[in-house]
Amino acid sequence: MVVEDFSKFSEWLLASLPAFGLIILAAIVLGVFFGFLIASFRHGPFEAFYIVATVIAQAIPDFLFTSPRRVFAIARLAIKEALRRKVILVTFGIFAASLLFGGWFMNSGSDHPDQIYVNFVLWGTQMLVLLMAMLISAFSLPDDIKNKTIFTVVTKPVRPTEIVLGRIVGFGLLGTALLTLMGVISFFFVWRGLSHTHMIVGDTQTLASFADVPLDKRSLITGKRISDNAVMEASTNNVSGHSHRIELIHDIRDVGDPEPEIKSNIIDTKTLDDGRTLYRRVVCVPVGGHTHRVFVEGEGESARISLGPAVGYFRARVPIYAEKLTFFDRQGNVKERGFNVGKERNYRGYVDGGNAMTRSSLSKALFEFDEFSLDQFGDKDILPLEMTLGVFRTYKGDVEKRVTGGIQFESVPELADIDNKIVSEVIDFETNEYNVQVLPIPRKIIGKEIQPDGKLVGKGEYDLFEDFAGENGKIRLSLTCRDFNQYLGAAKADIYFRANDQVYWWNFTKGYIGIWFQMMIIIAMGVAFSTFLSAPITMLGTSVMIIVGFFTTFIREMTDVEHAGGGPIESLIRVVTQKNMILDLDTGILTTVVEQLDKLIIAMMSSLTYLAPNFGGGQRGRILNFSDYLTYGYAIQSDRILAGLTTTIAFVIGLTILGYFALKTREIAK
Amino acid sequence: MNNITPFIRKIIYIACIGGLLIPLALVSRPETRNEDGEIKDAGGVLSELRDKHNLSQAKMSEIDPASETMKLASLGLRGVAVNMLWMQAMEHKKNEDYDKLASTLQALTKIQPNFVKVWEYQAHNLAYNVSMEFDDYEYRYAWVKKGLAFLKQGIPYNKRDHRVPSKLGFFTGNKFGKSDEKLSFRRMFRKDDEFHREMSDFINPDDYDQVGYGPDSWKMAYHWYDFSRKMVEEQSCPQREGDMLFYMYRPAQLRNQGLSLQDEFRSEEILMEIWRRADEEWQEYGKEEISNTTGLTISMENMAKYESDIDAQRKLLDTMVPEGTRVEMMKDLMQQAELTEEQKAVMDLTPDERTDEQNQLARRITDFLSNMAGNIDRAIAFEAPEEKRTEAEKAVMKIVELQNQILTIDKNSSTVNYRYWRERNGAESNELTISARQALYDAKQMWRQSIYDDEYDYDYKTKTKSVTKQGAISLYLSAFKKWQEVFDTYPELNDGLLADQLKDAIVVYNNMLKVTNREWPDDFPMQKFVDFRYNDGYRDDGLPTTEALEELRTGRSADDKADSSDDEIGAEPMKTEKDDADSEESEIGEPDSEGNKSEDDKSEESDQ
Repeated sequence: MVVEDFSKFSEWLLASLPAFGLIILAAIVLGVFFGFLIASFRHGPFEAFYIVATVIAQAIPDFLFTSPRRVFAIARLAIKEALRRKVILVTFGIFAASLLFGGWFMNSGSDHPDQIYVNFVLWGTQMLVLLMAMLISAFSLPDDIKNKTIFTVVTKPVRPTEIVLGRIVGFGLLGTALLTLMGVISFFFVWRGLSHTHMIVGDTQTLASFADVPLDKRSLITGKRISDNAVMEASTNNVSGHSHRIELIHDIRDVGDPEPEIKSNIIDTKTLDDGRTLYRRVVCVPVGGHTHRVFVEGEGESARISLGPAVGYFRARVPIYAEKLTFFDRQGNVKERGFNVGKERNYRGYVDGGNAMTRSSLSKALFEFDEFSLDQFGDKDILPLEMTLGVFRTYKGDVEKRVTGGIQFESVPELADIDNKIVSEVIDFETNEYNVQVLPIPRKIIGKEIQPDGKLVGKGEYDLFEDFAGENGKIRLSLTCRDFNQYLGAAKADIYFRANDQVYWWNFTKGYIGIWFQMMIIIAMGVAFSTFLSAPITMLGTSVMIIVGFFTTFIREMTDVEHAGGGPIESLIRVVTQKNMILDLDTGILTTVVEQLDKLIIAMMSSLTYLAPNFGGGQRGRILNFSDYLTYGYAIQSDRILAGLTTTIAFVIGLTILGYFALKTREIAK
Repeated sequence: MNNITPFIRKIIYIACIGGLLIPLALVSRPETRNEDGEIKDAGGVLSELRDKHNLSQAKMSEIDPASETMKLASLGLRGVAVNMLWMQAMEHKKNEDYDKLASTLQALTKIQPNFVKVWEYQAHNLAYNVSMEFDDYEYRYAWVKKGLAFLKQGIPYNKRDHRVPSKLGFFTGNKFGKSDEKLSFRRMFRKDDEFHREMSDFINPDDYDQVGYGPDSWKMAYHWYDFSRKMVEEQSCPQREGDMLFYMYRPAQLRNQGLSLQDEFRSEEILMEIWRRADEEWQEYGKEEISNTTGLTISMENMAKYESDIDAQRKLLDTMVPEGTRVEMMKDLMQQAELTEEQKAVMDLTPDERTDEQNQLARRITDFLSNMAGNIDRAIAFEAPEEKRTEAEKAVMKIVELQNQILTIDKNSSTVNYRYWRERNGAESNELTISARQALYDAKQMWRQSIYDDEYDYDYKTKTKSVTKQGAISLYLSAFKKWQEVFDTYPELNDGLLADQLKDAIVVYNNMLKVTNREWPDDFPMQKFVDFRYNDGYRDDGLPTTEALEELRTGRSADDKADSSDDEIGAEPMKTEKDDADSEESEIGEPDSEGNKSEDDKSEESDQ
């Protein structure tokens, strides 16, 4: 998953306000214009002017004096009515049936069953809830009008705003209750579906079932590589479509080193002749994003080994991203982007490992972190640095060896010409492409302090927070490729420090809040459309908006990119004249006019896309749809939720206004 | 009508719809069988037609609920759904989101399960294109498996199309046994019980478990091809490939197995057995009656028979013309053509007395001579008296037909490199070759450990050495002695992949001599082989030919030599096109079992 950094809510709001203002302005202008046009047809232009002015004038008190009490009364009515329709019951029935039988079709042999489970419940809930929202909102008002039951409401002192808002609130409350229920059930469905444990294959659940590992460090069980400090291995039984390898490792620690954090898996402890301590520990090798905690009862060869439940599926990682990423070429010059290795997407820039001739390369990717502070990580001695790097080989090399990268930290002195700088030693690591790779960085790392003129001041252990980040909280991380003629690729979101995880159920809830946003927009849309359209047309209109909502990213891409072949009119000319997209049109006034018109149409189309909410995933869709975050185990930022909430409120207010004017101009509401 | 209430009208409509569904259900009901597999109900007309034309799953047991549900859910817009999913799949691939690509492909093939090319294309996408995107070989291996498992899912949907198992054979063999990571892949394959279990619904893992070595990927490929052949031979599924390649795939996997195993392990009796089986199956393939695209039916092993038939027809033709006509004509033509002594000697032998190579040469000479005279047999027939002219013409026509068959065999057998592999299989299943291989393997092990010289105990009293451990140099020498014997027995192997491997081994040996400051031995066992390659155009081997050694010894034009080559005893660097292909490798060192071999070697062209 590409987790792009999200700007702060305030920045997002400031950036979005101009577009929002423009849309509001356009809506007002268009609304007044069309209102005037329709009234003109009915009553003539002069009368129309008067009517439009009156409607606008009446709108102000209607909005200002909308009574929450009456809104809730109508909301209660809407809830009763919706319950009577049994749409909610049917929706819940389908949901329950899907969960009951859905488990059968889950691909348990997948590499990432957690992603499949989470995706399934999120997608299912989203579809059902949106469908339900559309059905209950689209039929309500048109049916009332058709059955004339609306008169029992409008004859009372009720404002049209209250009728529209009451329905939105009522349906919203009902939807919220259903969504909450679905969310809770989904959570337990995912948890239940993924929970499993294993047994060790062998006659006994002890070390007797283990075999010695060969000297070439290739597993006898799988033929794959094993941990460097593994001495014995065993395998578990196959549960949920996978099995794990179990390793007995020799964890040797120097005098003064802390004891292993997890002690439940220690078989025995020995003090070696040189004073160091040997911990014989049993570990479970992760498969498909999870592992199992190992428990040892007893000591030594006869100790009984058992595995706990799956660990690692339910994560809500909180990434601390760099503020800025800069690339340097082989000669050390700053470049706008890294090397392009010819990947179609061109998402990552690549750093070059140099070649055997030069024996070195100054190419690197420099990540600059701001506000790097201890409170994000708790009191930890080891900081997890997570990476999702790309690798590009220019020659095959050793196929069994992964390409090596290097990480180096440096401080960012406020006054670079005066203050000393601290630079760490290079931490080498083997890359693990297409996987979230965790590199444990000790808080205290070996480095040196140098003066601005390059003179060495001192060497030793330096603290990442106290010495490197210091008072300004800034730290730089440079990524280099340590293998000649090979390349490492990185984008800004590819390297981050993993702060303390968020509580999973809360993140799960946030994912459902995203669905709630979508539901509220659809309800508001359904209610607003139903004020001037018949029920089937409202349903059609709302469903079109839902479909458009899922393809908004694609539609926006079509309007904001300079496509070969020009805009709609130019494309039409090319289709008719059978001219291919590469050939220029004949120069002349006509072409100029067509091009200018196309620009205008594309600009209009681009603005129009913002009238439809963005329900899809993708980089820009993550304001109303957070499913990717849950699927890939990342915490959903609160700023994103705020942005989603703002967007939802904007849509609901806008649609309420639309519904109000539509209802106001219908005779029933007078 | 107006008297009917809307409610009654609705009931009538529903009844009509229900009524229409009954005949629809009857004509499209699927075939059902009882527990013994006997047909209980042949199914409706539509179902029978579907079965007949292989349109979709017509039997109850074949219907996949997930696939049918998805087809129904697309509400008749299957084409649109397929297009959208296909685009989505491409997008996921572009975005390097391979897990999503795999799940999109699942949906895609559920909607379009009977389109074999979709299975083939996307399985290739996973096993080749996606797998190579991963830097770590373990992930590459996992994606190759995913590609294979994906393709396997296509078999039940396409039970009458042999291309799916055939492609499975190709992917299994090619990816595990020929890619850069083949050693690692095959090592993991041997241990991969989960994968073997996954594939066990079509191929029993015991079938490809090679005694002494464990499960073998080439043997698995063999069984996929076998599965594919049986579909055609036993279930009369339509054959969608030419005979020549279709029948070649299965036997070829056995020799591939032998080739891989001898790279990975020290050759043993079992390996000899594998080669023997490869030889048997290859010869069976050679005896197979094969139709080619022009409609001619040939058998590659029948070449000699056709040659004798031509000879018999010619003899018959000669009886119809005045005695000595052919001899006279040939004499004239041979004089005009100025044949060499060797060529003349070959022409004097009968087809049965000639070796394969001599037969080829004789054919070329005859063709050449024949062309000189237009067509010599036709010219001879022209000399026949009037009453025998028709019969003579018939004999000529028969000769032409047989010649065409020979030409076709020649062309086809060179496509699959039949003769080379027949010779090679025979050679490899020979004890002499096995011992030569063992010797070379031992030498290579020593070379890997950089132990070049012999280790010995020196008795100072008797001043004699007793070798305790042979070093790489002497081990290579004894291996070369055995290999020269192999090449003497099977001269056809002097050119091809094996020859290249041996050349590489000699280059390693030569490099060791240089490092240890030794001279090239006068009695180098494979000097004949080195000279042969040099004369055959491989001028860039960098190995000393007899001529070059002679020149060096006599000191003739020593200065010129020194200028022309860095290697004081190396061959002249006269580059030919042929040399360019493998010149890089010979400089780098020996591309042993772990390295690259020249994949474009002509002997390897027909591996699949």
